[in-house]
Parts: sequence; structure tokens; C-alpha cells
Amino acid sequence: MSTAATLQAQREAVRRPVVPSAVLGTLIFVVSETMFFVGMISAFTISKAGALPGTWPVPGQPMLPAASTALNTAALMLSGVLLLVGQRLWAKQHAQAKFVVLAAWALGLAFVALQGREWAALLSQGLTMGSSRLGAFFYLIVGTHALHAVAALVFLGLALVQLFRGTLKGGLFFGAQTFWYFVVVLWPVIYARVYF
Amino acid sequence: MCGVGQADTEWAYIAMTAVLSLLPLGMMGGVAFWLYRRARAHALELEPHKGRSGG
Amino acid sequence: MSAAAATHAEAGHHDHAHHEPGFIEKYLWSTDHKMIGFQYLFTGMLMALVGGFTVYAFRMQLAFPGVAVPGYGRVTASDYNALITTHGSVMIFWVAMPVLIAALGNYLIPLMIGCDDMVFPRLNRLSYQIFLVSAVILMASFFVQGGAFGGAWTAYPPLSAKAEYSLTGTGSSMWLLAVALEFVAFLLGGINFVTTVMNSRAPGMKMFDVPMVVWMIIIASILFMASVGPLVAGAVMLLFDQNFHTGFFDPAKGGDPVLWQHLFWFFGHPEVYVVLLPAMGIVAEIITVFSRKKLFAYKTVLYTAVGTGVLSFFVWAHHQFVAGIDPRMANVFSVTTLLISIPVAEMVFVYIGTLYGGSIRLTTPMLWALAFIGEFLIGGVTGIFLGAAGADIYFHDTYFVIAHFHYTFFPIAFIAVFAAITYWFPKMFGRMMNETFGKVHFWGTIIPFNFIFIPLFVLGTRGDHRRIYDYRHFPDLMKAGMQDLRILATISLLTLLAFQVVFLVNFFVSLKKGPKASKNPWNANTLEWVAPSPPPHGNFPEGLPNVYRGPYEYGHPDRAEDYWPQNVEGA
Repeated sequence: MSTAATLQAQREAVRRPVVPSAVLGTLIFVVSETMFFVGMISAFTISKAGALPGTWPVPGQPMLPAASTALNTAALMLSGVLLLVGQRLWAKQHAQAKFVVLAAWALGLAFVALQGREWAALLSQGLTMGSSRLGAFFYLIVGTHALHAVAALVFLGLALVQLFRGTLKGGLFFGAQTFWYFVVVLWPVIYARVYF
Repeated sequence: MCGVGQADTEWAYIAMTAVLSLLPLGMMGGVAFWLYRRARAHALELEPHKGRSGG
Repeated sequence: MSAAAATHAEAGHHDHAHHEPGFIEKYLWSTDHKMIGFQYLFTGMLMALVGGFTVYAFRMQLAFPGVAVPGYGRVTASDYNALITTHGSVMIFWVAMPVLIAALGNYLIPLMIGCDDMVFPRLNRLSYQIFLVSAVILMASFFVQGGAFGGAWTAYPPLSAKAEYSLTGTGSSMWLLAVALEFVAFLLGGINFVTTVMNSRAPGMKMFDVPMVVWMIIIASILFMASVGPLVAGAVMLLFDQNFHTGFFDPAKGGDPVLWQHLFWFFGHPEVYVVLLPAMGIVAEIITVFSRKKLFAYKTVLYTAVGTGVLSFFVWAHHQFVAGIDPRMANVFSVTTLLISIPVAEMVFVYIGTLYGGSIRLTTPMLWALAFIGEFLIGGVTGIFLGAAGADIYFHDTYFVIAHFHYTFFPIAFIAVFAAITYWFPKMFGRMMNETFGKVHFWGTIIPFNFIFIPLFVLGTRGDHRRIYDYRHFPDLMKAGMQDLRILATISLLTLLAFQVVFLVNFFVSLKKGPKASKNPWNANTLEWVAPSPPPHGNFPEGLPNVYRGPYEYGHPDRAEDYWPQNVEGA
């Protein structure tokens, strides 16, 4: 009947993508996102290098809790590793895959919660966006990262629901994973650059 | 004068300029190279003798 | 817009297989790449009217200071700031980008690579919707307290960061928001373009069979996506500076205003090549068709374009020569800036090589394409003066700079776009445009264009500063003849604007009443001419074409016809 159906069939026959479109699209998106973060980190580096003595950090304002954030960092890294394991298991159609992915997701959630607690403490001690440039950069960069983490967790959560229902398709899982790995890999860079 | 004359600022600007300029090229180049290798492997695997006459 | 709609209602009859979609579904909620291309095209044309109106108002003020401008009224100093800012941002972000990349990219890419639609059609629809929201926000900023943003399109802090300096607190935040949203829209579009060309080419179409304009749009999209991140980061920081009392760019709080320039121009200069490359691609398509010759050195053009893209990441600090940057950096950026003229000049030489010995037909699109080469050359050559750090210190912020970049941007955003519209009009709307009207419009645009900007070059060399609202306060800039040159430029501008009416009349009358176009009115090779004019939903009702050769086989000695379409079999 319709030319649409014929076209569809022909298109399927014709297209043997070298890389699935979803993969390529996500990759390009990640490159742009990386540049977004690199822009902020480069601004941070330049501002820090140019700060006048005694303004970075401002005396009397709280130091960033580098030591206690190591725990948050560990949680996030572990989450990334677990997700990688979960992916392997899922590809082999292993029954345990969904629990591993659930653990990865829970650790990710723990990271966001720990970060939230840290923010609450810093805010109560008087480090705000307006109080110093270090504060402004801290909340800007870490906050943007946190937003990305939350968004990635939402996608990963959707994938997880489908995983438990047994309806998960590769596309969503792949996109959510890539985004989560991006969040995970970015964090050590931010941690090393901003906290120390 | 926005930090002009401070060695640290100068260094930071130069370093960040280099990072900012080189990183996207590196990433895009990496993706392009990966695609190129995938495409070659793909073409060989699909139809080793595919070629077109004329051109 | 409604005239376009009418033509498309007729076009819909070709396509009996589909149900008849309603108006909203068809024109506003469509995922068809052609319709999205039209949405971008018509929005861009509408925004061009805004850009044209603003330049009319502020050029009138410069030529006849203090006199009420017909249709606008008296231009106050803050009006003037808002007008120049809007002119710059609209023409670059809401005219050049959407028309050259989004409209033509969306319309041409699937047709020219022989597929039925983009890979992510719904993402594509979202892209236009975000773009539309950004345009609405920008236009709405005219009506808020303080009016539209008045800190120039480069938005340098602290002028842009503090409401007490720019006097447009809400307007500047809205401007930033609009710009950031617009970039998100083009990011989505760019992902679509690259993925589509990578994965949906017609069978048999290899990398070097892809038409040059598609390549150029792809390279431009990649440049855009790789460079836009830092500017979005900067925009967020500036937004925080404006609204949340942070001090990223505020020297009073220890911030660094040069940092904004660093982030802005990292995007801002690749942006020039983002719009230049598609224009170069359009010209390549047109000169090959109308000189009936193979594109001279296809691969050279392609590699040159890639090289231009790579180099474009190393030239941006030439905008900051007088901003107090490290002189060592200024030296490096001078050299790279002079270097980048080499690949661009090479492309121009290749185009001249293509024209050489061809059977040239001076149709309207061909005239535009030839004018592009000539006029852009003037822009490129004057860029050499500004690229050299020493000379730039003298020329910085004078009308020489204005004239220089208008000699690059006008050919890109208008000459090449007129070339594209007149060339692809038969395919887009299924009717031919009127050649006589087209030529009248061509000469009526090109001649006044030169009469606007050559006087500005002269004024610039005499030290005319660009950010002055009323020159009567500056006796040194009112010396013999200087005001006459300003008046000459303004009158030429009025002439140029008046001749655009010819184009609009030609466009909309041809849309309704033009003679029906055949499938391939120009005897061209590329795949879009295989589809019916205008192409139905799905593009190729007779099945997707197979590709047997490159896109520029004109005047092949073994053939009776002087063209050899990509989809025609045979050795």
C-alpha cells in the first residue's frame, strides 16, 4: 500500500550504520558537555591564579572539606564501576544484572545526598555565592555537576524500572550509561581542581 | 588592570588558552579517527569486494 | 508565512498515501525536515526584517543626529545602544545561523544525501521550538523595564554585568537567556546533521560523493558544537553576576573582565567560520552548475575546509589585542590569524579555477555566487590589517573594523543566502522565480552595499570611533567631509533596504504565480534534483536513489548531455 512502508523497508535495507545513531549522537553531546565544563574549569583556574593575596579563600570563610569529600568521591567511583559490571552482566543476559545496576544507582544517589549535606554545612558556615569568588565558583561548578548527576540518575532510574520489568531496550540504557560515565569521569577532575 | 603583569595570571591564561584550543580538536579528532577505523572494518566485513565501476 | 503554506497545501496532493494532517500538525508540529527548514527560513527572514529596521534607525541617527527618524521617532542614547546590540545579535545569531546552518542544513542534507528524513526527527522539531522560544524572549526584551539589552553583541562586562552601567537590567538577562537557549537549539540540530550524514547516506554514496555544501555544513556544525561550551559557561556566569551578586567578572569583587572575553571569543571566532563554511559550500554548488564544470580539486576544498576549522580554534585572541593580553600571546595569535587567510584564499582560488574555461551562465544565483567571491575577498584582505597586532592597535574599534566584518558577514549572511534561495527556490516551492526581478534585486543590493561600506573604510582610517552616538560632540570626528561620508553610507543603506522589497515581492509572487518548475530546472547532478519539485513527505516517492559517482560530473567528454546525475547508472 503506502509508499511510506516501502520506503521504511528500503531504508532498513540500505542503512547499515557504522555506529548506531544513538551512540554517535550521545558522543557528540558528551564532547559539547565536556567543553562546557572545561570552560568553567578554565575560568576557575585563571581566576584562582589571578586572585590577590588573601582573597582565595577569604580568611574567616570555611575551607572546602577536601578530606570528607573523598568519601563522596569513592561512592561515585564505585557506582561507575558497578554500572560497568552491570552492563557486562546485562549483555550476557545474566539474572543478577538488575541488582548490580540498582546498587550503582543507589550509590549515585548517595553521592548526590552526601554532596547536599556538604552544601548545607558550607552554607550554614557562611560560604555563599556572593560571599567570595571561591564560593561562587564552587557552587557554580559543583552545582552544575550535581544537576548533571541528578539528570543522569533520572534516566538511569527509568532504565532501571524497565530493567526490572524486563522491557529494557539498548538505546535508553546506553544513553543513560554514557551520561552517567560522563558524570563519574568528570568528578575526579573537578574534585582535584576545585577542592585543593 | 585585571592581573596584567602577574606571572601567575599570564601563565594561567596561556595554559588555559592551549587547553581550550587543543581539547576540542583532540576530542573531535579522536571521534573521527575511531569512526574511520570502524567504517573501514565495517566495509571489509560487509562486502569485501564491493566497489563501483567508473567514477 | 501563509503564502508558503498555500503552496505546500498544493504540494500535499502528491502524497496520497498519508492522511491529510491539520494545520498545526503540518506547519507547526511537523517532524519533516523540509518543514523544519522552512520554519527556520521564515523565522530567519522575519528576524532579518528586525535587524534591518534597527540598522535603519541607528544609521539615520548617525547621519542626521537628533532628528526624529520616520517610523521610529527620536533615537535616544540608550535606544541607540539597544539598537546596535540588537542589530548585531539578531543578524548573527538569529539570521545568519538559522538560515545558513539550520534552514539550509535541514532542507538540503536529507535531500542531497538521498534519504527521507533526519535520523532524529523529533529532536529536530524540538530544536526549532527552542529556537523560536529564544527569538520570542529576545523580542520580548524590547518591552521590559529599561528596554532591550544595550551592551553590544559581545556583552563585555562590567558594562553588561551591572544594571547601573548598562541601564538594562532585565533586558540583559533576557538577552543572555535567549542566546543560551539558541545555542541549545543549534546543538540539537548539529547532532542531527552529523549523525544523519554519517548514517543515512544513499546506497553507494561514499565520503567523497557527498556534495560540498553538505560537507561544509557538517564541518561548521562540528566547529560550533566544539566551541560553544565555554561560551555557555560564560553566559551562565554572567547571568549569575547580573542576578546573584557573584563577582566572576566584576573587578570590584576581584573578578576578571578579560575572562569573559576569553570565553566569548573562544566561541566567537570559530563562529565566523561556522557561518562562512556553509556559504562557501553554497557557492561551490552554484558555480559548478552554472559554469558546467567539475569542481576544481574537490578533495583540496574539503581538506582546506577541515584545515580552516582546525586553525579557527587558534585565532580568537586577535579580538583582544588591546584588552591587555600577554604580548607573547598576541604575537602567536597574529601569526595564526594571518595564516588562516591562506586556506580561505585557497578556496577562493579553487573557485576561480572552477570558473576558468567554463560555459558560464549568468543566472541570478550565479550572479550572487560570483558577487560572494568578490565581496568576501575584500573582507578577507582587510582582515589582514586587523590581524596584525601592531596595526590593530590603531584600527581597533574604528569604522574600519565595522566595514571589514560587514564585508565578510554581508556576503555570508545575505549574498550567499540570496544565492541559495534563488538557486533552490524551484525545489523548495515547485515554482521558478522571476529572473528580471532577481537581477534588479541583485544590482540594487550589491551597488548600495559597496557604497555603504567603502565610506566606512575611509572613515575608519581617519579614526572614526564606532561606539559614538552623536558625533557633534566630537569636533575631531566632524572634520571636512566626514559627516558627508556618514550621510552617503546611510543613503546607500536606505537604497539597499528599498531594493529588498523587490526580493520580497519576487519571492511571494513567485511562490503563488511563478511558472511550475520541473524536477531539474538547472540540469544539476546532485540528488535533491532527483526528487519531485517540491519533494513530498519522504522525499523520493520512486524509492531512494542509488549513487554511482561524485556530485560534479559536468561536461564529461563521453556523454551527450553536459551533466551526469549522481543516481544515473553507467560507467
